[in-house]
Amino acid sequence: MNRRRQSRASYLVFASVVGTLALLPAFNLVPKEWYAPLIFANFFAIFAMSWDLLAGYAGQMNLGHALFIGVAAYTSGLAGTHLEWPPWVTIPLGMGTSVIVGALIGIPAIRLRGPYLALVTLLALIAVYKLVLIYSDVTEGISGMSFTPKNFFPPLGYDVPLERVKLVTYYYSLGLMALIGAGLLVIAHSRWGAIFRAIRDNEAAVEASGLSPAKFKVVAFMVSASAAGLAGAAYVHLPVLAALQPAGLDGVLSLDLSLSIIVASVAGGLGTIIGPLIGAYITKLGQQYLSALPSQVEALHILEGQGWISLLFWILLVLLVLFARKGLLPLLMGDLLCRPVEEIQIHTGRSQQ
Amino acid sequence: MEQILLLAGLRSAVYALLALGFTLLFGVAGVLNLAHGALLMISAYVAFTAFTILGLPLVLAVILGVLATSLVAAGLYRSVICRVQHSSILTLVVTLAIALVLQEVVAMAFGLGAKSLPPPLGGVSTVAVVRVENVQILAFVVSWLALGGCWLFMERTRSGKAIRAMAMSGKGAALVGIDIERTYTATWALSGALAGLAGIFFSYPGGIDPRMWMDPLIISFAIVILGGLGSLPGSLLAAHLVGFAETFTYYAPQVHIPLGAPWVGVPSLLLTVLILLLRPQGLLGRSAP
Repeated sequence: MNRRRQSRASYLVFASVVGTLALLPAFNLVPKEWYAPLIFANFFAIFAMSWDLLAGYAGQMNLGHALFIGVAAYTSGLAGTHLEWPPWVTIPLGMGTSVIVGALIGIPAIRLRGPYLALVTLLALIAVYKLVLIYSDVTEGISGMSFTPKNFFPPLGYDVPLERVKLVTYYYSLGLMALIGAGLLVIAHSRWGAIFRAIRDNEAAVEASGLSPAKFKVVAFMVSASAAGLAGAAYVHLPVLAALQPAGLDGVLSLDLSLSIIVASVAGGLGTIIGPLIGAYITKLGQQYLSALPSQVEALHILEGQGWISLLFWILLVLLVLFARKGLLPLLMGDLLCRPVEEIQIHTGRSQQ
Repeated sequence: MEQILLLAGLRSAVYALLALGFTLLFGVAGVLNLAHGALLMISAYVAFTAFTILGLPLVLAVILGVLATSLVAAGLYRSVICRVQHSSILTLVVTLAIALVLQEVVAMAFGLGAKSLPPPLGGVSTVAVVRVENVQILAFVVSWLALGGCWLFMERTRSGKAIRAMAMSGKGAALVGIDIERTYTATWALSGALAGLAGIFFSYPGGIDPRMWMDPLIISFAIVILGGLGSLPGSLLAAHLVGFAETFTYYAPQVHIPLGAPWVGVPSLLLTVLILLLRPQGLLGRSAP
C-alpha cells in the first residue's frame, strides 16, 4: 500500500519538475545567460539519476561514474571529428561503447565487494583518463576537443536561426532528461528495481530466493552505463559546448565530475532517483551562481577561477557524509521519498505475472 | 639497461616507504586512505614553501614538511576519519574528497603550474659502471633508514607493540588496556610521516604540482594489493616489482620503447586490476578480501 503511494509520489514529483522546467522559457523566466547552465544541469541530472540507480538502488558504489560518461563522449566525439560520421550514428555508438564498458566493470562486481569494487571503478576511470592524455595527438589531451557546426546534432546546428539555438537546445536536453529520467524511474519501481534494492540490503537473501545476484549486478551496471552513456554522447553534439574537456568540474572523464555526481546525489538523498535529480539542479545552478559572483562582487575578486567552487563541493561532501548521510532533501521532505529498509519485499518472477 | 635496473632498485626503496604508510593504516585500522597521495603533496609543498619562500635551510625544510604531514594526517583522523571509519565505503568517499580538497587548496595557494624543489644533494656519481644522481642514492639510503627505524619502532617500543596488537585484533588490544583512539591517532601520524618523507624524494625527477597526488596513490595501491593488503613483507617485495615496472616505463624512451613519463602509473593500474581479478589475496597475502 505504502509502496504504491511512494512510487506514485516520485512520478508526481518528477512530472512537476519536468513541467516546471518546460514552462520556464514560455513565461520568459530564463535570462539569456542562464540557458547554458540549465542545459548542462539537464545533463547533470541524468548523470546523477543513473548513478543513483547503480549506487543508491543496487548498492554498487561507483566512484568512477564519469568513466561511462567520458567513454561515450569521447567515442562519439572522436568518431564525429576524425571519421566524420553523423551524430545519429555516433550517439548510439558512444552509448553502446559505454554499455560494454559498464558490463566490463560489472563483471568484477560479481566477485569483488564493497570497497574493492569501488577501487576498481576509480582505477578504471583514472586509467582511461591517462589514455586520453597519452594519446593527446588524437584526443587533444587536457585542453579538450573542439567541434565544428557539422558535428552538432542536426535539429540544433543546421537550420535553426542563431537566436533560437539556445531555446531549442534547452528543450532538446530537457526532453532527453525527461525520457531517460522516466525510464530510470520505471526501472527503479519495477521488479528489477526491487531486486536491485534486495541485492543492496541482503545479497544472500536474493540468492536464497533463486535469483542470481551476479546477473542483476551486471544488469544494474549496464542500465546505469547506458543512461549515462546516452547522455554523455548527446552532450558532445551540443552547440553550447565550447570544448570536450577531460579534467576539471566540467570535464567528462574527471574525478571531479564523479564526485560532484556523488555530492548532488547524497545531498538529494540516495536511492530515490528524485532526490539526485533535484540535488543535481541545485548543485549545478548553485555552481553557476557562485562562479558568477567574483566578477560581480568587489570583495570576492580574489576568488577568480573555478577552484574555490570545487573546494566548497568537496567540503560539502565531507560534511554531508559526517552529519546528513540520508541527504538534505529527505531531511526536509520527511519519509515520503525515503523508504525504510524493513518494507522491502522481493518479488520473484511468477508472483508478478 | 644497467642504469634502469640500478635506478629501479634505488627508487623501489622510496616506493616501499610510500606503501608502508598506506598498508600500515589498512592493517591497523582497515582504512584504505585515498588521501595518501595528497599527504605526499603536503610535505613537498611545505618543504618548498619553507625552502624557497622562507629561505630556511633545506634539511630544516624537509623536517618541517615531514612534521606537517604527520600533523595533518593525525588531524584528519581526529576530525573526520574517526567518525566514518566503521564503513569502508564512506571512508573511501571521504578520503577521496579530502584528497581533492587538498588539491584545490594547494592549487589556490600555489597555482596549477609545476614547481621544483632543489635536490638536497646535487651532483652525479658513478656506481659500478652506471652514473646516477646523488639525490637518488640519498633517497635510497634515507628510505631504508626510515624503513629500518620503522621496524625497530614496531618491534621495540610500547607504542609500536600497541600498533601491532591493534593490527592483530582490535578487541583483544582493547581488552589488555591499549588506548584504541590514541593508537589509531599514532598510526595515522606515523603513516603521515612516512608519506611525508616519501613525498620529498618522490618529486625527483619531475617536480611538484597540485595533481601530483594521483600517481603515488595508484602506485601505493598497486604495491599494497600486489603484496597482499596489510602484509609488510609482501609490500616490500611488491614495491620492487612495481618499482621496476614504473622506472622502466619512465626511462623506456632511452632504450627506444615508446613509453615515458605520461605512462607512469599505467603499469600499476594494470597490475592492480589484474591482481584484484585473478588473485585478490595478493602475492603473499593470506585471506581474500
